[in-house]
Amino acid sequence: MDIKAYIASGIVETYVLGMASPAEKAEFEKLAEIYPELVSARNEFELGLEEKAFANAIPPPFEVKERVLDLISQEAAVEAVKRIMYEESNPPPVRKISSMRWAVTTSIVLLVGSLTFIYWLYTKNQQLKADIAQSKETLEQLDQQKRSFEEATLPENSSAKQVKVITPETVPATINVFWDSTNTHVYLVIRDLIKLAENEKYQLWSITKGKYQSLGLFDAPDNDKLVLKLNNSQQAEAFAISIAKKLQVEPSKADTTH
Amino acid sequence: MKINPSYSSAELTTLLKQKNSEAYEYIFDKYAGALLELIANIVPEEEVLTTLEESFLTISQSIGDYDPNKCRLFTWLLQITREVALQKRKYLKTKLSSTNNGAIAGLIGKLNNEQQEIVQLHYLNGYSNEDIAKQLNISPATASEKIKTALSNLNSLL
Repeated sequence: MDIKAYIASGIVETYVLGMASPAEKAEFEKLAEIYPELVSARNEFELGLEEKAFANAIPPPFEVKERVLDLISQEAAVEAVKRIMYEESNPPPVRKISSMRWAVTTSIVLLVGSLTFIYWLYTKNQQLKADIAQSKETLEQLDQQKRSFEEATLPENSSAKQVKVITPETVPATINVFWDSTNTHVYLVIRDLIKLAENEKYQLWSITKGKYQSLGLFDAPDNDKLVLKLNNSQQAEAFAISIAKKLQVEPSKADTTH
Repeated sequence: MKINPSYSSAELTTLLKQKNSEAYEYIFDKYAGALLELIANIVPEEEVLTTLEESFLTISQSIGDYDPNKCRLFTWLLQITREVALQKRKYLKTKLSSTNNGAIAGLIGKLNNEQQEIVQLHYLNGYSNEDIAKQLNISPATASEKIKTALSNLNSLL
């Protein structure tokens, strides 16, 4: 670039007097960084203009100076208040960005945490469901076992006590009675009960204060053991088994012992 | 009488940006007279002092934009003052014709008649290149060249 021609074009004066277009201004400032002679030319014109301007300058009236300084200090005070208000209502952008970043980071962490927790809950729930199903199954099995146990054997209850059962001499059965004192249930475990004729049935009696009460008819079991669960709310002292023919009640001699 | 403190241009710029009232007093004492002369060539006499006040207020409000690497402080003050005065002139729709009184107007007055007219219209009356092109019945590019050529002579006239 022919910088001498550029300087001689009048651009220095145009620039200094504030008449350059934005494009001319930008070009001038860029070239001034590269060419020291351009800066020298600018300085020369500036200083010449300044000297000339001061030579015949008439100072303005004193009150104008006072008013100007007053206006500037007022303006400065207003600016300061504005700045404080602005800073109070608008935190610095850097802080804004960092707090926004912080919020985003926190949100992401919380989201990931929530999703992990939800997944954990879901897994746990499935596991619990499976556990419940298994427990139900186990419970059912236990229930069934208990039922068959109740039917087949005696409850292993320490509070159960044995009472005697009167049986007819013709019936060579072994009968044990277990009385659960915690409730009103009585279990009769009858073994080796012989089969009766078709028109005959066994009849069970409870004996309370010397009185006989029929508890019902039953047949000899197919297997060797029969467990009868009875409700003994009447608090029977003993039980008796008789053979009934055609529903005809015929109690045998009783021997009430405890 | 108060003795003006002496500032380096960097110190002065910093103090002005800090709204230091002594620094403003300093630049008023030093530059207001010269700025007033320029204003007097742009706006009517009765508006000169208020325009000066407005210029200083604008200087105080715009001082943050001043870059000492780009020009001297007085150059920048002169540019701001000219803009404020031209705005005032436009607002008042003044048809005031410029005189050759004052440093810059006097300098412009030393140019030949054609150049003097162009620079006065452009610098003191706020005519754009297009306005001047219309006035002289030439193209805006030619008007721009003519203005620069006229201004290039100013340095030699100082």
